[in-house]
Amino acid sequence: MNVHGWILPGILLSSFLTGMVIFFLSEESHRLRTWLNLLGAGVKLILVGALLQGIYHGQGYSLELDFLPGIPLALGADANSVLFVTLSTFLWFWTTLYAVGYLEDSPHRSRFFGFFSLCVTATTGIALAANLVTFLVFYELLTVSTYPLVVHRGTPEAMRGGRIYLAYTLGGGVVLLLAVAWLHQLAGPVMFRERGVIEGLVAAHRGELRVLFLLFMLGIGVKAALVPLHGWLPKAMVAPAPVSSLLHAVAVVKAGAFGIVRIVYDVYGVETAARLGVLAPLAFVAGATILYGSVLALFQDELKKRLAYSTVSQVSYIVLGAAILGPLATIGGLVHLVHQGIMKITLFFGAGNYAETLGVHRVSELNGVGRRMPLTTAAFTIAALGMIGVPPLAGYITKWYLKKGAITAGAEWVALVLALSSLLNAAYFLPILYRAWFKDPPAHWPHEHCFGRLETHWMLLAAPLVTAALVVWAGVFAESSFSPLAWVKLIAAREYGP
Amino acid sequence: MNSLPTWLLGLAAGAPLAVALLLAARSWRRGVLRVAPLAAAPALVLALTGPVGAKASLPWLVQHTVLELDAVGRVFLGFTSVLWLVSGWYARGYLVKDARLSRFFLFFLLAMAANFTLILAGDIPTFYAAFALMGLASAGLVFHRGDAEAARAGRVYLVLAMLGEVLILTGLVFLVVAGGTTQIAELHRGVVSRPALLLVLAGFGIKAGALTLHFWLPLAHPAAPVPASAVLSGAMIKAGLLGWMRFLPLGEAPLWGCGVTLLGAGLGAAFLGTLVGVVQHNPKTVLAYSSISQMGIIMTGLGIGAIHPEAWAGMQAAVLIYATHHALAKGALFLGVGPAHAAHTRRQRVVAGAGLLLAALALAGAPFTSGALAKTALKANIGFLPEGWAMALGILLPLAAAGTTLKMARFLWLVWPRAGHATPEAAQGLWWPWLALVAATAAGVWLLPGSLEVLPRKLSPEKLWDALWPLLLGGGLAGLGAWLRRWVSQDVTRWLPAGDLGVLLERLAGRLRLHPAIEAPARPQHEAGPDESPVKAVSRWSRLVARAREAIPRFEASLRHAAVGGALWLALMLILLGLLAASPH
Repeated sequence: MNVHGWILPGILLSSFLTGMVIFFLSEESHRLRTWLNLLGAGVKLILVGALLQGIYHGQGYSLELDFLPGIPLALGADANSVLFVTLSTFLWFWTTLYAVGYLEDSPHRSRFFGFFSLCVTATTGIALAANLVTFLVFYELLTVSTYPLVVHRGTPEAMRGGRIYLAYTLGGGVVLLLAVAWLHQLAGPVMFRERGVIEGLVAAHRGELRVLFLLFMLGIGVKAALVPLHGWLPKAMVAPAPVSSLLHAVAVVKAGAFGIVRIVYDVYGVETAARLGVLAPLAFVAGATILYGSVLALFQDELKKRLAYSTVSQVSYIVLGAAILGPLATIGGLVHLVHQGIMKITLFFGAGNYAETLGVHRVSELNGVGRRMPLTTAAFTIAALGMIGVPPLAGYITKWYLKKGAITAGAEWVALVLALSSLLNAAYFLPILYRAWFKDPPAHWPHEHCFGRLETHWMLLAAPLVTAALVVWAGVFAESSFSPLAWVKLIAAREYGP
Repeated sequence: MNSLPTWLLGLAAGAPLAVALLLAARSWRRGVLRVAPLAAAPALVLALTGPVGAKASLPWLVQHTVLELDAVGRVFLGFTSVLWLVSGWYARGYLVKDARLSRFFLFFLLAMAANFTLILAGDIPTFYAAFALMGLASAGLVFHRGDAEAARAGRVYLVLAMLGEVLILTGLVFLVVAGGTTQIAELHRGVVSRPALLLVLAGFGIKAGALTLHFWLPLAHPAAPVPASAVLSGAMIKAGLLGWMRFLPLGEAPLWGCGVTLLGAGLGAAFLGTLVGVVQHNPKTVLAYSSISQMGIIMTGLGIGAIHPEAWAGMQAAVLIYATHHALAKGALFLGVGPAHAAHTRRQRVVAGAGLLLAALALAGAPFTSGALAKTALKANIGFLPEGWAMALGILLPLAAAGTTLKMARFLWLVWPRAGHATPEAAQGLWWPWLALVAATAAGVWLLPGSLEVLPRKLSPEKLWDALWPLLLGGGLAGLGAWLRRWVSQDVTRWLPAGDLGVLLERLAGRLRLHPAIEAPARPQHEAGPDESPVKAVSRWSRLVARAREAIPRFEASLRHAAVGGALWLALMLILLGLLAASPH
């Protein structure tokens, strides 16, 4: 096996081994654990960089291990998986740094970081899975490895949130397992391939394929938080802030959205799916989810809860993009996979900083926070404006392409949904920004920590600043050759290619 | 490509942005604030040297940004840059004691950069991006004062601005899809897209203060500090006008519906502005209503151009003259509020009074002023309309001018510098920028292309009378009003409050409890007080909303149980189904 052969397993092992070692570290070895964490994340980042470089130069990557009779455990790197794996690896690095700062002096850190690493291993596995069974395996691993993170605090509320999380995701997993088994029975081993693999079956199994699509969406829709399967997400936000960041931006919800993208583009093929007539209902569900999540976010006073409902709404942009036929909508949806990730993680970092530094958890307590923590609030502001779709930030690029795609495809109602969603986003984000920047701060913050010269711990500060800079970059340089949009355009060209 | 005008294009748009970014560095702030007003200078230089056709492509920026100076843009850039330059200069004196001076200038410079960029934008995404940024940045100016009135004005402004931006983005995407291009210059060749037309009309109507979408304006413009009001009411309001000129297919196809809408909304705004504006107590509110009226008059010009494509060429020049005239005169009036309040000596009072009078007369269209020129230019193009319409407009427009005179009289009455009424603070640094703008008001319009051709060759007494009678009528009405005022003991603003329609909507929203729960999670059960007589339907609706508020969390919770159970049940059922389906094989 040459150097290239080691990259795929290396990407998985870099976080898996880190996690395994950390489990056996004592609670006190703070320094070693931190270094191990950063080392794992750094190595993974380098490997993903090498992967990008290789793919750019036309190198193919695949790896197969025997698993079930006739169905190997297959890893591979196509354009879609590289998009997701780059996102999760990059954000994992910064989330790790953030988590180290956030959990300083709190108990059970070895357990936490161990599962943290496993969670990311599972996510990268989902990204790199080259066939349906591999995808399913990592998808379930993700469920299992995230649960301990959700209940990390161990409070009754956390346990309840974890229970709900587990019930939902395991339920979804069962449905997904069924769908995978059924499809294998129809089509044999299913490798992911651009423009789908089931075209030949359409004539004979039209009805079954439709039911199967419904099953896939039910199974994966739980993690993607499609209404009415979203109930676990606002409950799971009892987890510590770095976990919320991970859940919302990198791992769980994103895995769901990515799964839907995989099913639509690389299993069914978007044109085949359109011919089967399954895209229109999916678009409708996504549209309803977008509006429902936004309306509920309006009513939340708890900052993280408001962000959670906002995630419900925003992730469905990705689904919406997948559910509309045409390269423009595909671009809009896929690029939001990255854009939503960097924006939402910035928002959760910000919310975590407020909670950790000032003890502020509610929107109504945020008065004047911009003056106490200008850098954090600036990052939060950029991300929030991006979510609303203010140009030239990342979210605006998404909305432009989605709207254009929808109108080109003749689905004008989608443009209306997106417009309404922008207004609702503004209605629940702008009051926060107004409070933070224009109102006077209170005499005493609920629970203030001092960190010397900086407004908060440097590790807590670095992560949101980097991700906020990314939000600006992804928008301002969207049409340059080195941006999420450029990569996504490549994927769309392959999906709709001649 | 790298010729001077190309650089100047980038510099004009980029300089304010760069200065705004420099403000972030705390240690440089004092120095940066000193030169901040100069950020508008490159734009002014560009407008004056005017290399029409200069183009800069920045393909790496946002969505292939193209900056371009065309003839229309040059005029807009001219008056816009003058206003920003003077207002920035003025702001340094006006806000010298303000602890948040740097925050003010941050928003001021961002809005300035956006305003220049949207004028220079050669492609649709850049135009939209600049327009949206300007809307948000200027909200910071409205909020600046930080009291309850500013907070209310800012909220109303922000709601309307966001609504406008969303409408515009959707409309522009429709345009791009229908036209197959993002370049503004290449647009309109394709078919007229009806949704795009509607959305563009309404979206920019919010910024331009078109009737029924105007009510944020008399709240927001007075709430901002004086220099910000000047640019809001003089320069930024014109972005709505520019949007229409760029994106409505004027001069290409006859658009009856669109034209009649513009005409109706414009005339309505002209008269409503007078009716409500004239009873206001705050001089800046009177000016804001005057802006609504004046934009209304400009809209009638657009309306005529929309109905008759062949009229557009002449009308466009008239609209440009009118826009320039209004921008400069309105800016001079707003900025005049500061010196008028700070005139201590007799000489200062005379200068302040003379300057205000000059600007007010110009706005009212007195002979030999820029206003007279603008009105003549507009009237010259009415002839394209059918007989009856032209006649009606021939009467309505001068009546609107009489209304303007009335408002100007009211304004002068409110701000007139009187001995012993001056505020204690000396107004250092306000006089020169203001006087410069007054001078620009007197002279600026005559620099415009085509302005001299509008002038009648010979001055006849008839023509003079045409220009004079609305003025005399307005003056007479003002005198009558002042005399009648003695018998009216009640405050008329009770029925005609600033923000007219908006106040009704606010009350309705309050009644419907539509304010999102940002203040307190739930308001106490508040039944209608004895002084209010609740409309039945409204109270029923409010009960419904209250109930929905309680019901939503309950629904969420039930979903949690139902969904879990349901998913498992479904899974089991489907496994059975799958087995059944599999069995024949």
